[in-house]
Amino acid sequence: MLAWTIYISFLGAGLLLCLSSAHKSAARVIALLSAVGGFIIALAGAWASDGRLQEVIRISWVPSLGLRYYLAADGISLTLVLLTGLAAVTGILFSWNIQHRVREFFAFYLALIGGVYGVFLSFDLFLLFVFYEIAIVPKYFLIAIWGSTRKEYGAMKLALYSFIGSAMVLIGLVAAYVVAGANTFDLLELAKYPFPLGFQLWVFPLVFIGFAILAGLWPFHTWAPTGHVAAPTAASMLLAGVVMKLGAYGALRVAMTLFPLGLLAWQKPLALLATTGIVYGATVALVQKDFKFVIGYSSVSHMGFVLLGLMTLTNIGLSGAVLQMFSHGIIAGLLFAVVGRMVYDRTHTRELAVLEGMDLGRALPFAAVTFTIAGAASMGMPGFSGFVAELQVLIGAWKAFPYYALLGGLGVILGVVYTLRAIRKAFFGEHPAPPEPGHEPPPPITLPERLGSLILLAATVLIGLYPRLLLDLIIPSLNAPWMQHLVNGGRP
Amino acid sequence: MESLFFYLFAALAVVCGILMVANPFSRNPVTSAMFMVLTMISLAGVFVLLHAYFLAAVQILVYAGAVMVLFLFVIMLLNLKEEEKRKPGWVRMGFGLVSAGLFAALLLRSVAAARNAPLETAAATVDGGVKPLGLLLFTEYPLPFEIMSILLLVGMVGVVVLSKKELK
Amino acid sequence: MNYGELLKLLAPESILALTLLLVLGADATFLSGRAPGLRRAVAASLTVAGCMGAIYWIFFFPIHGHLFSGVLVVDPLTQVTKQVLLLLTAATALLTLETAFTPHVGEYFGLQLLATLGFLFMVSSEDILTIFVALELASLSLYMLASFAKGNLASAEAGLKYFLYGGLASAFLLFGFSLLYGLTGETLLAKIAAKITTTPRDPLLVVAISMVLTGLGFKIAAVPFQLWAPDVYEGAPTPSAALIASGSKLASFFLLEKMMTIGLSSAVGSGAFHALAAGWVPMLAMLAGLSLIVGNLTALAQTSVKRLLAYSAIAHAGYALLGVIANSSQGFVALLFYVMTYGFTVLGAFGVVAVVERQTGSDRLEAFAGLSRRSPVLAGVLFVCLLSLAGIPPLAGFFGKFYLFAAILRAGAPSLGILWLVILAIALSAVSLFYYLQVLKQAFVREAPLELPFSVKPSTQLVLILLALCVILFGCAPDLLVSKLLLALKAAAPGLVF
Repeated sequence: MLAWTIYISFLGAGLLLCLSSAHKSAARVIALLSAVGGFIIALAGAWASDGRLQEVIRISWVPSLGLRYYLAADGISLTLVLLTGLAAVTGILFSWNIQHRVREFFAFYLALIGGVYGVFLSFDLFLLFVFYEIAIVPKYFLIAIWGSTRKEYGAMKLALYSFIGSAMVLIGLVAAYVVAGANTFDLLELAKYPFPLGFQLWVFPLVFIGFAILAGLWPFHTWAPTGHVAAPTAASMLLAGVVMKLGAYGALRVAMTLFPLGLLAWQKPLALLATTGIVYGATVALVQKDFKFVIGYSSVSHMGFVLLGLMTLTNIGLSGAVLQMFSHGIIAGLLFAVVGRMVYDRTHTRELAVLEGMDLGRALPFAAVTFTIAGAASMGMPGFSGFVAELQVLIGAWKAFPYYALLGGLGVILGVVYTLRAIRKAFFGEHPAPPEPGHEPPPPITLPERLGSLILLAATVLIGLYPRLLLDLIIPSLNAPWMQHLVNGGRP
Repeated sequence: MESLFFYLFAALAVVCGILMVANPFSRNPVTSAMFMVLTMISLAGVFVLLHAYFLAAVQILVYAGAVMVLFLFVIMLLNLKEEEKRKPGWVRMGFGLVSAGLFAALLLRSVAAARNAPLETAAATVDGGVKPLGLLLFTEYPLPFEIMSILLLVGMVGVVVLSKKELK
Repeated sequence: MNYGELLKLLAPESILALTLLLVLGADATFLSGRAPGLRRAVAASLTVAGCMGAIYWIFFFPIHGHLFSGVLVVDPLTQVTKQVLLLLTAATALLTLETAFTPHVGEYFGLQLLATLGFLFMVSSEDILTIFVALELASLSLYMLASFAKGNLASAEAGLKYFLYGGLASAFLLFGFSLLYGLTGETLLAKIAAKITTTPRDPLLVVAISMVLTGLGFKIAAVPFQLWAPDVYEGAPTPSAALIASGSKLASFFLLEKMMTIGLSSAVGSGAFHALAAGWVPMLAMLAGLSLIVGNLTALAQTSVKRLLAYSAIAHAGYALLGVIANSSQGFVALLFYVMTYGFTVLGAFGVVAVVERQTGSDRLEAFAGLSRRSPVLAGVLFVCLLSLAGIPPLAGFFGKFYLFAAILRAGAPSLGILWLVILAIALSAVSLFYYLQVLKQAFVREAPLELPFSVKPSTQLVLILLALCVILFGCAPDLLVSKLLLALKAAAPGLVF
């Protein structure tokens, strides 16, 4: 059943390609229907699951190499599949007004979504890698064709970073496949194989960093701000909301699961990088002049929490990390939607200094309110999902490495500062210039935009108030036997 | 006695070969062609020493005879001038010299190493007449023989196409 | 020996030879003086019919046997390879319809058939004399095909360059072969291998191996024997370049693999990082590494798409060499899978280039601007083919590369000594995405100054779509081809344990 999330997305993409380019509304409807279909399937899957691993499909693919078409889902996968469904639906709602090459836009969009679903559901590493790479190419075209602000540069940078990361992963995977000698890429079977220490010491960082490049690990994060800024709204929502999670998910599912000894050896340095990312992202976000860059760097900072949580190797830290993936996916999506769709498309500027004079708080009250709430969620106000997630990560980090936890706390405070600064400058400028004569007020917020914002806001509040909805999925899967070393401080 | 003749013919072949492509005294194509005839003839001499009489005869008849006559015909018909001296590009020259040097070193090393080792396969005495050659061609190697005939067809088609005047 | 048996074993080749005579004859007699379009259509249909006939013959009358103890080898593996070669030629012939550079229609298609005949013989012989003659048959036809656009200076240059370099390479190959013969007194690969083991390692063997590698390295365009490739790909008529890049590559790699793993099976050596040992493996590893580096890095700076494809072909020769270096049956299958699917892919790419070149008069990157609007089908095919070349799943190029990496590492397992080459290959494939995306960027992102739709012949569209579908199919379900090749290899050499 869950496999249909993948098929429905690719089918939608294929259907769009067969459509005549004149039928713009039909293209939108098809895209929305496929996304909603995927989301409903994901919801049903999450509803039925108790968090333990359930097999979806497992058939032989290339027998001579032991490759399998093996899809399965545990709580972690389901959380992220759910996130993907949410991001897909709302992303389409926020791109409802796209006029330029609509059919192709949604085709690339759905292909990307399908690849992402595939990554989260694959338990055969070769298959996982295949879906991981499928997601790269649509990203490039989404940004290069429909983006803004140095779009070709941003798109190429993103594509090359992703591809170099995946090249590192591929080296590690092939080497592990050959060394294990079991003629299989099955994650669970490879996880049982005790790779020699010397091997793990170099393969673990290779694979981990290969994935973490896409998660915005400092100092390999530089694609993220430029990519986010160049991307069209829906694509930056997907980038921050889902694609960065691909990296974190891969790091957790592949690198950390397969190479426990390497993980132990590299735990401290990687935690340091993650913490640096938190503080660095927040600091840089503090001084940005471009509204979208603020959100772009805040993503780096928030993803730092995910990586820090992963490195704690405690139950609470890891579940916090997964929760943070979900939470950041929703909040960042919302923030990008406000900045890109509601503000930039109407005012054609993202300069905070210019926005300050526009008095957008009065002109676009819905945008202002939405952004304020999303900003509050982003800075970790209680009652929103960000609070629960970051708190768990910090508690886990406090147990594992207190100093980094302190630094992470500093990151939270900086987060409050830059978010407030952005809200104040963008929406509640102190010296609104008098409206020029002949200046038209920005067009009002449309229905799809309101709908998208409300869905995302509802999700973050729901998880903030009742995190057990997701934690009940995440925690049982962390207790699975092959994840034991991850929650026991690295010991098997 | 035999080895004396071998060295004579071999040296002649090499010297004439060099003079054919890089004659310091003359850049006339006809001179080059004449040196090529000499190379062919010395090679025929080597074949005789190997008891390959048929091959030697064919070498003289076909290459030194027919082919070279055609060559000369074409050269004279085209009325080629003396080839102009070209300035050698130093990079290319250097690259060529280095690869040639490396290759020569490899050859010399193996020849030097081979000198100590006794020659294992004694020179097989071959009957290089027409009969054994014909037998081989029709018993063991008819396939390459047939492929050769197709190869000639390629040559024919190619010549027709390339030499035909384009009607514009 | 029985000539009837020879004819039976050579049935596909005979069909092809008959077709060739038909094509030449038809064009010279009742078609002479007719409109060139008609002549092309007739010649192409005859060529395709001949190729298809040969394929059907192989399919429905499977026959296996060795004649003259290996001068002619017909086994399941050669038959599969021949079928793919014939398919490639048929597709090339159909793509030729898109071009109009020569009035000598019959001869052009005839030479394509002759080159294919050469490929078929290259594949089905294990005797160095026959191999050489077959190689010359193919090469000579290809030289002619490269210089066929007589009104075009670049084509003449391409032909001459190809001929001069090729002649030199043939001389090297022949010298190497004669040294091998001199060392062993044998012309059959298996017997050569047996003789080499019994005698102590002769230093002349190193010379022989390096000369053979020089000759064959030229055919597959591996660095440092690649100098001809860019000019030939750029200057030659596009269908000729396509045949050089697809069919010729496949036949040459098949030959190289047989030459190395059968003929020189006792002089393998090792290319592992800490344990280099003399033999052909370290030599090939060096060629592969150089090809990967030079091909991929030089391709970055190209502005002509045909030149870009030439450098990418050099890089791909580097990848395919990994399969030979593996020196295992898995490696053999991986190599064949890779080169076959590469043939389909590169034909598709050249087909698109041919159309764009005919419509815009240029193969520069800018000529591809707005392709997605001017002809969505062509843009789609280009998308699939170039991404497959870059190694993006789920396309055939990705699985081919992965299979090569797995095969070469497994052949050396549990030691990972050859990992350096794999790392180099994977890292450079990340680089290669950049230049493929440059082309796709023009096609999909940039807008054309004039958005006139391209007119594309239905036959071309059909072939291109089929090629792209093949690339997708073999990427999604590689087992279709892999299992077939594995079975064929097992049947061809039951006791194969290399």
